[in-house]
Order: sequence, then structure tokens, then C-alpha cells
Amino acid sequence: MKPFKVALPGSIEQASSLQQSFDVPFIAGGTDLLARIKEYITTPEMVVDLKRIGGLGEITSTDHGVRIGALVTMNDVATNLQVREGFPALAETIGNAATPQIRNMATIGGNICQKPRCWYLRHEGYTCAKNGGSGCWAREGENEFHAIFGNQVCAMTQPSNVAPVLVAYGASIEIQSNAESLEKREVPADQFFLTPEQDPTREVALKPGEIVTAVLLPAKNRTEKWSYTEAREKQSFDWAQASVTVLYQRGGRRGDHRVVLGAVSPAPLRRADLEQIIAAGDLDADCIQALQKKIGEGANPLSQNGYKVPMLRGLMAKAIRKLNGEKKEG
Amino acid sequence: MADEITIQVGFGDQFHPLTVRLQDGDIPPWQPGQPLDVVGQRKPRLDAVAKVTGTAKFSQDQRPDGLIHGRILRSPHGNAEIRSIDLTAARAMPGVRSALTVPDTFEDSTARHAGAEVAAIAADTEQQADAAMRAIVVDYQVKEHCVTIDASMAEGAPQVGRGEQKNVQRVSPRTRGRRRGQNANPDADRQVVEQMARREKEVDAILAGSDSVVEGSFRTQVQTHAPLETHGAVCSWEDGRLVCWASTQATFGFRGEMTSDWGQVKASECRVLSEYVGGGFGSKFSAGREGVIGALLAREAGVPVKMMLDRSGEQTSAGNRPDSIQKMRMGVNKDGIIQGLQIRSWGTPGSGIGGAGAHNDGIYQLGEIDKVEYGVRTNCGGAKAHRAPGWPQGSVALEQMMDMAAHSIDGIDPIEFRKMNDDHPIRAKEYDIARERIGWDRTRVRGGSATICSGVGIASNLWFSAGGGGASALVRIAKDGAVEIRNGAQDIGTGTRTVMAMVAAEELGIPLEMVSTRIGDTNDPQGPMSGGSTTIGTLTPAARLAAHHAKKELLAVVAERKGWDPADLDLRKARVIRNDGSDTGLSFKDACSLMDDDAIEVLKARPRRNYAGFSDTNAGVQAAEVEVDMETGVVRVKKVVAVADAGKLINPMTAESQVRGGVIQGVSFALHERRIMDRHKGRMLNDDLENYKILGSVDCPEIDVVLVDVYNGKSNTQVMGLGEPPIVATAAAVANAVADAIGVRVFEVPITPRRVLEAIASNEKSAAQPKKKGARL
Repeated sequence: MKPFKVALPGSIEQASSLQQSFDVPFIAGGTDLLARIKEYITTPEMVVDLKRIGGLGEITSTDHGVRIGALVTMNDVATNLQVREGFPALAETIGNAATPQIRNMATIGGNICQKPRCWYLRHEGYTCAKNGGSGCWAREGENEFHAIFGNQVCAMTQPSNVAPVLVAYGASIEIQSNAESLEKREVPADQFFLTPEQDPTREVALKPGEIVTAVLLPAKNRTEKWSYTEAREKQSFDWAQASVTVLYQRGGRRGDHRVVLGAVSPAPLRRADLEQIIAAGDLDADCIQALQKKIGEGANPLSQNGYKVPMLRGLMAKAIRKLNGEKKEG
Repeated sequence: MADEITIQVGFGDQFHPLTVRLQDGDIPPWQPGQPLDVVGQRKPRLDAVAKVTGTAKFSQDQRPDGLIHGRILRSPHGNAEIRSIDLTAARAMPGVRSALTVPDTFEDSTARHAGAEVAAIAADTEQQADAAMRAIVVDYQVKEHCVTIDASMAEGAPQVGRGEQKNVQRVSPRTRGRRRGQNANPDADRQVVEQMARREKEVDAILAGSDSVVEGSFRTQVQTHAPLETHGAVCSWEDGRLVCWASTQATFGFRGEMTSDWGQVKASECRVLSEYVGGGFGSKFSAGREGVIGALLAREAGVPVKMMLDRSGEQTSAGNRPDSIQKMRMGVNKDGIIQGLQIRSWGTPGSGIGGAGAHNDGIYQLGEIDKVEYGVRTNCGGAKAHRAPGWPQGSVALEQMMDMAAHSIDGIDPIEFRKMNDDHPIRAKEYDIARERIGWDRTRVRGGSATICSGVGIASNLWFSAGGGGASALVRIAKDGAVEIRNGAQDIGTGTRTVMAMVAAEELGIPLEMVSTRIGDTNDPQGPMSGGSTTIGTLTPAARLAAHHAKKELLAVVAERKGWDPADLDLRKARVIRNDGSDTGLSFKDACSLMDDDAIEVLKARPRRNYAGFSDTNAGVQAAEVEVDMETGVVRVKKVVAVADAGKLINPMTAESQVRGGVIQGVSFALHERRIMDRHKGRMLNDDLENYKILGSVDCPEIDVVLVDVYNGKSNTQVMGLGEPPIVATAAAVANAVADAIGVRVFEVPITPRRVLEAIASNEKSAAQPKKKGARL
């Protein structure tokens, strides 16, 4: 590891002014950044530790819903009663992420800002569209875990299991910076996560000096049914190979439902076409069949990840059965 | 001398007498029914608390005064020649004390895989060493590479080896007289080729005459050892004498390398210390280049150097289990008897060809066998022995062939089919235990439209590890009653330390708590390397013999001082007793206090040869139960029943631990672990513990260990090793269970969701097509 300085600002203003460029990273739980520093994937002269900044470590109810401070640990989010009752899909996905040790250190803010797990990006000597070069090594290389949708520029998958769930819940990301006299800005989750076409070098809509201060979850419709299903080889310390988040509003109309796919594209993939199928009919076998037929549309599998299409079909079926309250499987 | 004795050998309710001639000074083995106080009891390993509380000091933890840190620079290229190395800038970096280049030290300027050692440096801090390593300037001539077995076997593939070496080379049957880097003598080779052709024809004919022929083409992956503690040592020099705290499974082998001409070290003397080892699995027999580098950097620096590999170096260059392609055809008759087996297999152990073999032609009575095996050179890190080298991969193929053959004959149950073709006396019993405990005959949801399917699979193992000569043990009984047993070999985690003490305690008639063990120090008596699961079988007879003679000396002292007959005395439950069982009134401590000297010390060597015994091999059967999610392809192993035997059980608790460890590593091999090489740059992409997936605790199945106690009569402790055998059958049992669950076979491990989904899809596609029969391999 290359030695680096640690700045310990006490305010957002100070922290923000310390980050003039992304060469100076912010650190919270450090579960992602430290690993990348150890591997010389990034070699900052200084990191800015956010943990002394007050007011970022709580979960609070607001008039508009629930506010989760960016420094709240994954474990505290997953076990929080407001989250568990109001946003069970979020509690479910976080509760299964990584390992208990990592969940005790990692923060919700860090989780949604983590860098891709692409094994080319995480090895020295592979420059690509994401880090100052062009092209994508995975597209013609080893891509078993890479994206099947939207993978033309870069085949990374968004590594946060939480991201698709936040998109489904219509969450917003609260961002502050030193600029414009500390004005807060709220970015809807589906605009926060960027596609490589939008900007291959960034995964999230943060500019230098901008700090994620909270995740805002809107007040909820109580008639909602939910399901989060994912597949991965190991039950702990592994990443999803595909996930499906479904929110279903009883008696809802077209546009009320949410279907978001995870781990199959560079950013969470909301599928309006699948939402329409759910809106159009009952949650029955015909509906499952229609969804399964549709879900692979637009996929562009690479040499080793074609299995993600049938995997998504399987997860979709599970998701609908789960909405119907069928017993949890396996 | 009455050295010819008759003993009872066997297991369960099957015993028979065997007459053995005891070797010089040896003592008879324990007999069935003989009351034992320590041996056979479940005892937590003596170092359990030290290990879980962190007080146990591994090589990684050693911090002698003045310690500095070594780093190895590795080639980033899939295949390269090192033209030149400039250490000038690196040597000028802050804190740097010593440096070397691999071409100068090892006279090797090839870097035939990404990760190959190029140069090394030592500096005061880890950060300084990192920085200095990155300042080393290397001029590489980069060449084309082949990093997968398929790339290397492809037409027009770049040559991996040197001289006339071909990428694909037959390793068995061998042509004698082959020289390094040369092709075999053409005449000798032609003879072998002709023999092979004859054999192929013979077995072809046998298969043609069989009632049923099944065929399969199987693949297994490269598995790295991934021990928690990486390879390496902390090295320190004192007046030409070298001290190494080494992470090794062969303390004496390590010492031998350091004092030989090998690797330029040539220490006049070397002491190797290895009190605790964080896993080896077969990869730590040699000091390796890292061991040599550590010693040389320390000599130049004049201070101790810690030279332990980082995880990437460990994963790319410290050994692995080679992959395999195994094509097989098996002929079987309607009566269930196997007629013959044809095998063509390939494996890649890196840029060499040694160790590529798969053990896929044993365990069962397989009729006539025609087997040809090839080594395939690739630009990848070299293979090393990996827990039962060649066996798990061979088992994955052979055991699936067994199931396929059984299914091809109407109505033969896979377990019954194995029994028909298996003459091992112990395994015959073990099949029944496995069958009952896994719920083999229970009704299950299999295949079809169900989303979660359940299946069971079975596989067998075999091993041969009664140990041999080459070890001595020193037993020391002090005047104050302290008992110590010493041997210089290491405990790689198998429980060696504990079982040595148990055997000594049993023989001395004292509780285990009164015995301490000292191991892992080459200043102590000679011991074996931990290889072939022979450590326990080699060490414990020496331990028992030394304890026995120490007891005799102690009782002689007692007899002399008290005026008793020494032949009438014995030790039991920490008391001096008479042969009729009565107490003499003397405790063990009282007896010790009668010594004139400070201590009794007895050094005894293990008898070199083993007795004929009951069975030369351990058996073993494993059954796995899996659940497969048909929609996602995810496989969960729910339960593994592991029936194992290892001669006489010294400590069922540590024996069980060995079996559990084998099963866990086997399930991990079956479902997760695989090395992933990048075709572009030839580098290992998962050279970490994040993407190199290893079975975690949540994913562990229920492991039901059943141990069969066998009086095999092969040595005075009759024990056999159990480190390797339990990994042999696991992956094969899992593969058979998956096939049972989903109704289609996955011919490649690891059985990942991708492969399961692909197999299900191809099954749906080809359901209508008729199968070819009897095609040639």
C-alpha cells in the first residue's frame, strides 16, 4: 500500500473543499476504497474521512418519508424498524449483502458509490473506457459475471445490490457540496446511477466536492406488495449474478408498479415493458409466462454470460410467486 | 527372543488372527477390546485455544529484532523473456537494504507465466519495500501466450516450452530414456506407440462385446491451494548459520534445501522453526523461490527479512491442482460387471508436464483398461501436489461413469452396482452406512417442472498411508514428573501435536494433560514431511516406542529403589501398579522423584517396515444430498455423509476434523473454486479471495462423519493418515447428486449456475434426438 494522508474534516463544507478532484477520495467504512488502495488500483496522496461529520449517522422520519444518513452502516439500515416495515425489499437486500463483518463497517452512502467489481478494472495495467483509455476488455474476454444489457461501451455491472431497490422505491440521493453555499440537491436514484453512455468514467452523478449526505425514501403506499429475488453462487461474500425487484400496487394502474433488474447492466435497469405486463393482468401463470418471454428482450449477451437470460426468467417467476405470498423457496 | 506374536486384525465384527514377527525392539499393537484410557478418546487439539485466541505464533507473526520486509516483483506478462533488470533506482529508494534479480540468482531469465518471479527487494518498512519494488526497471521481450488448456491444444498454438518441447506431450504410458527438453528416442517411442495401438484394439474389442457401453467427456478446473497463511519465511542469519521461521509442511526438507547448493543459499547450518502452519494442502514441501529469496535478502541486509507472499503471488505462483479433460468409455454387462474402460485424459500443470495425471482408473474392479494420458503446457503458474493429487479430478470422471453405467443396465442401483465391482472389505460395509444416513431410498422431487429438485449421489475413496521409517521421537520424563515428547516435524493442522501426546500418555499411563509436545524445530529428532497423509502413521509408532522404553527405564528405577520386580510393574492412571492391577501406593510423580538424574530421556526410531496387516488401504464412501434451483441453476449441498476409516483411531475428534476439512474443500471444488485466466494478457483475474470463490461457512452442508475403527496391524499404533482421503470422493458425489436431481449431467466442475442452466437448456433441446452409441474417443 502506498502511504497516504488522512484528512478528518468536521463539516461538510471542509470535506467538500478538500476534494478538488476525484484523485482525493472520500472514505467512510472503507471496505471498498482500502482494498483498491492496497491493490494499487488507486493511489491517492490523501483521503478525506467523512466519519467526523455530524448529522450523517441517523435514520429519521420526515414529512416526506424516511431519511437515512449516508454514514449509517449497512447493518443498521437492515435492522432498522422503519426500514423493515416501510421498505422491506431494502432491508432484505442489505441483510444479504457481503458478510456481517462488512455490513458492520460499510455505509449506505459508500455502498451506492462503490466502484465496479469488474476484474479488469481491478487489476493494474488494463486501461479501458472507465479509466482513461477506451474499449472494454471484458467484451471479448472473461465476462461470466458481466452485463448483458447496455454493455456496448463498458460491460460492468452496477455492484450495489441496493441500487435497483432504491430505484424501485423512487428514492432520492441527497447531495451537498461547498459550491453554491452548501445548497442541498436531491437526485432521483434512477438519475443518480449513470450508464457508460452518459459517462464511462463515473458510475454515479457526483461531481468533485459533492458528498452523498443521505438516502431519502418517499412515504409509502400501504397497499404495496414487494419482492426482491437474486441469484448468486454463494450465500455469503458473493455478488448477485442477477436480481429482480418488483413493487406491486394493489389496485394500481399502469405506471404505479416497478420492475427493476440488477447485476445485469451497468446501471439498475427499470423495465417499463415488464411493469405494463404486471399492470395488464393478474399475477398468474400467464403473467409469469408473458414476463419471461419479454425479460430477455434487448439483451446482448457476451461469450460467457448468456445464462443470465434464463436466470432472469427464473428470478422473474420467483418474484411473482413471492408477490402472491407463496412460501419462500430453498 | 519371543518376537513372533499373533494379533487380531479387522474391524466391526470381522476379526481374524495374524502372526507378525516384531521388528527389533518394537512392541505389539493394541488389541481389540483392550482397555485404553487416552487413545480412542475425543480430545480437543492441544493448540485449539492458542489458535482461536491468537496466541499461537505463525511464521507470519514472527518479529525478530531488526526485522525488515521483502517483496517480490512478478512479471505482468503471460509469457516473456527478461532481457535486463536495472536495480539502480530501486536500491536508491529510502529504506532499501538488499535486492536481487531472478536471472542472476536462479539462472533463469524466462518468465513463462504472469506472476513469475523477476526480482526482489527488502526495505525497512512494508511501504518502502512496495515503493522500491515498483522502481525496479525490467526490459521484457513479450511473447505470445497460451493460458488455457484449449488454447494450448489448438492448432497453430504458440509454443509454451523450449527446444523441441511440444505443448501436448504423452506422459503415460511413458517412453523410457526421455531427456529434458528433448523428444524421446524414436525407436523406443515407436514401440510404445505400437503397444498402445494394440491395447486400444484389445479394449475396443472388449467394449464392442459388452452389453452396454457408456461414454462421457469430463472437465475439471484448476484449483489453487489458497491456504490462509501464504508461503514464505522469516529468515535471519547468525555467523553463517541461518534460522528460518518457515510456513512449511516439511521442516527437514526446507533445511535440506537451504544447506544444499540449491538456489545459492548454501548456509553452513540451518535451523527451521515451524510451530504453527496456516495450511499447506501439499503446496509447502519446498522452500520455493520465496524461501531462497528471503534467505539471500537477509544475508545481504544483515538483518532478518520477512518474506511472505502477498495473496496475488500466492494465487498465481505458489501451486495449484491441474485441470483435466477426461474422455472415457466403459463397457458393462447385463449382470452389472464392468468389462473394460478406455481413458484419454489431458491436464495442464503449467509450463511443465509433470503432475498432470488424473487417478481415474482405480478403486473399482474395472476390467481391462486402456489409458493414455497427456500433459499440456500452458503459460500458467506451475502445479504442486494438492490434497490427494490427481484423485478428486479422477473421481469426478470415474464416479460419474459408474453412475452412467449403472443406469444403462436396467434396474441397477448405483450403490449396488459399485458393490458388484468393488472388493474392498471395509468399503463393503461403508456403502450401507452411507446409504442409510443420507436417506438414499427416500422419495424425492426430481427433474420435471418442479422449481427446487433434490438428489443424492455416491462416490468412493481409497488411500494408502500407513507411514514408514524415517522418524524418531524423544520422550523426556523429568524428576518433577513433567513429560515432554519431541519431534522436529511440523503439524500442518492435522492434529499431529495432539496425537503424539496422546500416544505417549497412553503408553505412560498418565492423562493427556501431563504431556507436552514440542514440534516444528529441526534441532529436534528427525520427522517426516506432511505428505501422502503419512505423518501420523510415521510418527506415532516412534512416539509410542520411545514412551514405552522411557516407562521401562522409570520402572527400573522404581524397582531398584523399592526392591521390587520390574517385570511386575506398570503405569496406569498416573499410578504405579502391579501386573495383577493392584496399586503399589506410588503415584507417577512419586516414581519420578525417585530418579537420581534430572530426567530420563529416550530416543527411539520407528521400525522401518510395516507388517503385513489387514488391509493396505483405507477405504471410504461419501454420499451427498443436493438441492438445485431449476430456475437459477444455483446448487446447494444440503448434507454430506462421509464414512471414513484410517486404521486405529487415536483421536476421533481430530480425525473428524480432517474429514470435515476434506468435505468442505471438496464441496468448494465441486461448486465454486476455479482459476480464471485472461486471454488478452495471460493474467489470472481472480488472484484474490474476492473473486476466487471458496465455500463459506453459511454454504457449508451438514457434514455427518462416520468413522470406522480398524485394527490393521500394520504398526504398533495401526493408524493411517486421514488428511487427503476425505477430499477424493466429495465433488464426485455432489456431481452425481446434481445429475440425480435435475435429470441431466453437468460434465464439468465447478457446477456453477451457468453450467446448470446451460445443461438444462441443452437437455431440453436434445430431448428428442437419439443418442450415438459406441463412438470412438
